[in-house]
Amino acid sequence: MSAVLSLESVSVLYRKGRTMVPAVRDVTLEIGRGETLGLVGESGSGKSSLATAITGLLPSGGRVDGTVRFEGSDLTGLAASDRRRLRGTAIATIAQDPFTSLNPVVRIGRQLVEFQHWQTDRSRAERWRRAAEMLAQVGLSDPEARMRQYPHQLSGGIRQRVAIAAALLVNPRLLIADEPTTALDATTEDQIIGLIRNARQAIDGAVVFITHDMSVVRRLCDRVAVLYAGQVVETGPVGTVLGDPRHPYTKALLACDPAGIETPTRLLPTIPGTVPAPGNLPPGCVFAPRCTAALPVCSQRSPRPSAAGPGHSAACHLMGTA
Amino acid sequence: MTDASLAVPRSRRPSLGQSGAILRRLASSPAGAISLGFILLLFAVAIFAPLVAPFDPIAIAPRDRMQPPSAVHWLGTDQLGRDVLSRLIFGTRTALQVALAGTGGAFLVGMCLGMVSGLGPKWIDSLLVLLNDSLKALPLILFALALVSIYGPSMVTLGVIITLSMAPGYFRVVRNQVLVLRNADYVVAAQAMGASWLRQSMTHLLPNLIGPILVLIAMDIPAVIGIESGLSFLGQGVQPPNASWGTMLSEGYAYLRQAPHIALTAGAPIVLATIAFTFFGEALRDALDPRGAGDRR
Amino acid sequence: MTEATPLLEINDLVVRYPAGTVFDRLTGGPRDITILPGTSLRIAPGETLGLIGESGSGKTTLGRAAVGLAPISGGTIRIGKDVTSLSGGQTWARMRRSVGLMFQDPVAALDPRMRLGQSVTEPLAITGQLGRDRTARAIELLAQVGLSADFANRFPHEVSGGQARRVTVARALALDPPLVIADEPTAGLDLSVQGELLNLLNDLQQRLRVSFLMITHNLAVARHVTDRIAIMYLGRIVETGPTAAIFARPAHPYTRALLRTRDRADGTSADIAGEVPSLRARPAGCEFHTRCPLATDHCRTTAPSHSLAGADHLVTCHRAAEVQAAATGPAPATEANNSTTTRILKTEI
Repeated sequence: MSAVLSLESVSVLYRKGRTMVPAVRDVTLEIGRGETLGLVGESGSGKSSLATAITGLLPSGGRVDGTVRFEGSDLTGLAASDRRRLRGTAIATIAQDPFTSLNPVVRIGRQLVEFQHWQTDRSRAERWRRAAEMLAQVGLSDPEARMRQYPHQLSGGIRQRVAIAAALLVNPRLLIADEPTTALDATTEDQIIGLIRNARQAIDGAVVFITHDMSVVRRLCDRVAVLYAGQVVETGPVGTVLGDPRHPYTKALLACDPAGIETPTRLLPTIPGTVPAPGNLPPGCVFAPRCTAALPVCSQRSPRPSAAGPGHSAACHLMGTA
Repeated sequence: MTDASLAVPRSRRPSLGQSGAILRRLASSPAGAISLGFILLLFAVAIFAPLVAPFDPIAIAPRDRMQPPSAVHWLGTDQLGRDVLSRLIFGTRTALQVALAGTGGAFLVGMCLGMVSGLGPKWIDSLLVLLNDSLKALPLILFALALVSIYGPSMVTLGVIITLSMAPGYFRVVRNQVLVLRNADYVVAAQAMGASWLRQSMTHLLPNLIGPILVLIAMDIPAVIGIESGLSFLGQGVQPPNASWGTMLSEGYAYLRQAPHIALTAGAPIVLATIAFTFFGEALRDALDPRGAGDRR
Repeated sequence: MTEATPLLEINDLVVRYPAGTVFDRLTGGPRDITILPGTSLRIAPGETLGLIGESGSGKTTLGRAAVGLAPISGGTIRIGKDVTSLSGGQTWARMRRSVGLMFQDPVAALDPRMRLGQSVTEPLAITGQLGRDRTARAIELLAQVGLSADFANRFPHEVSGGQARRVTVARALALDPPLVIADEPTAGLDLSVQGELLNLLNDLQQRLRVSFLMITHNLAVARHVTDRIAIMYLGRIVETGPTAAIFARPAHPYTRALLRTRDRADGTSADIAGEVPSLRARPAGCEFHTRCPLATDHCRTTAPSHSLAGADHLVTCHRAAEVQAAATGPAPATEANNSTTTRILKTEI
């Protein structure tokens, strides 16, 4: 399995005042062809920053350290124009709220045609036809009518379908979806997850799915990386990580999900404390201050990822002792 | 800021009072600090005009006509031998009087009608918007000249003209803000707590819409000074022998070849005051945004 | 359920908003949109009712209409002893004091120019119960929701979403109301914070004996923290009953679909297809038939009425019996006293 995307010691830093504050620290990940990787984390975990580091759409004042390789070639050294071409031909993104990524005053059809602007071999009529096909493929019943509409005339679920169609139009080899179902209702979420699953089969590449929702990961992803305070604390196949979590944070996060608690209870589990601010990380393990199993060593030394099974690793001092 | 009864012990007070913080933020930008300084200077000059002015601004001295700047008359004298500096100082007083009265009147009228329009029944709103738009559609200069020709040129007429021409702007802003704010969650929340309309307006609407209005006033003051100067230049505003930047400009214009210093010294404060108030307005807008506090990148 | 007088009783509530342009009206288009077409709901003292629905189902409107913040054009609302049938009027001012309202977006529900101490004591100021020391009251109220005294001095933009949420809880409880209406109290919160907030609400409910109307789309949350739930679709309550009973044996296909979306781990396709129909063109017959996998011709023409699916468990579906029979969950204990259901049916409807 060749890696579509590989991250080596990637850090994302933002300028705050005079110092650079790390939003993501030392992340090493690999995503193989045909794979769907779930990036899971709560707000402030750095999961969206990591996505912008991959696409190179970092806000001004941000900096990426480490190497991001797409199909073997280093993205960090790429010129802006090459990066743009890559975004138009090989890497596509789906945003949480597609309303912000669709132009409100341009009809859907024209936008979908323009998304194919890098596919120079296609004529305009052909692009239009492909757009209509793609809308039909994402389950819209009357594509031609939809293409004559403006974004605000569509409901949230339909807009998200349009956004998926738009992403697939460029034949991406890497699809990055940033919380695409968070704003949607449960029944619509279900439909969109089904679509993304189909999309993964349609594209010859990989999907990175960013979410805070473990149940979505369970339903969609092959592998999962759990982020906490900008670090990957645990990564592995979805079945093992969710079935046998090794990092205390993953365990706590899974325990917190009310959907996973079998008997109804009025006292829900929580994780005491708060996520540390990126500029004020605790010494040693970032999770130590909130960890119920913390040892003295945890607040002194930062743990290195260690293997917990095939393809499964966690960064925790307790790994050796357990 | 809005309620004094919420006094918190000084030891726990983390920041200055809100108005103090706004002032500090205002003074922290160079443009804000310089324009604020210049505006304070203008006000000081206007208030203490009789004390500051070296000569009587309307005393005629035919023998000293059109003298260039000298040790006695720092900015020279005009065609009637009056001291230009003294006239300029009293002109500042006129300009600020007109500006404050005009924008103040426009603000009061626009604010009240805007609140009524935004909160009242739909038919009142439609009526006021229609009136407002009609007023706004009148060409300002023709409107002003018509009023002057009916009521004669005077400070009162000038004030009425400025109020009527500026009020529609305030009305629009206040009405639109009220329409947005009255559906804001925190206003609906107050309503759900049983707050009366008056209470909602005073505690939530007013404090939240006053910021943009203050900025608008600061930005409008130069326009008002311009109107006053313009009408005075045309002989329809402040009447001789009273000093105004506009009348001075107009008189100086007639003698531009013989004594250019008269027109130039009258034009300079108009330009400087316009720039200062505009920069002040922009600095105020930045300072009033509570979210812009520390991290402006 | 039947023995105690309900604290909140909403009967056949109709809410319409004016809609369409002048042009639409001239060409014979609808003059208004009916959000609530005659909705009934009741909450017993000390009970938590979960009002479940997807976006656009009218659940927020129902919550707001209960305190007179929506244009009511029919039906009655009773809170405690006060009854009203129309929006406006003196009764509302009194009724609103019995209800604490929590908005979906806690930061937007706090005046950006007010310190939190002022915001949290605002209900007291409005009703003239402030007393002399506002700060002390503010600190007391904030302490009730686990926030330290220095929060009284902060502005809404200086606190996290979870903390702002706690402030709105404190404000909703400031007048000791018997009822709190909480609109999506966990929206936008991280899982770990969500648990803390729900535990806080539960704790407050037990200490203060307050009833909750919890409006949410999150069934996983509702299962743990509600006593009863009501499922809403297009402004109608299609199923209502004890939480445990509905989770064990849902009787409406819509409820069943909602329950299944969360459980499904594999790639089986969604139960219900398509989009929620427009409120401007409500479907004939059963309004769910356009998306229902069980719809028959009968469903397409005739609207179902309430029927009993268990003790205190009502459903509006022609094929409820089949849906329940197919449910795999064990019958809840309340099913045993089925003989008494006719009596309940009479008093419930």
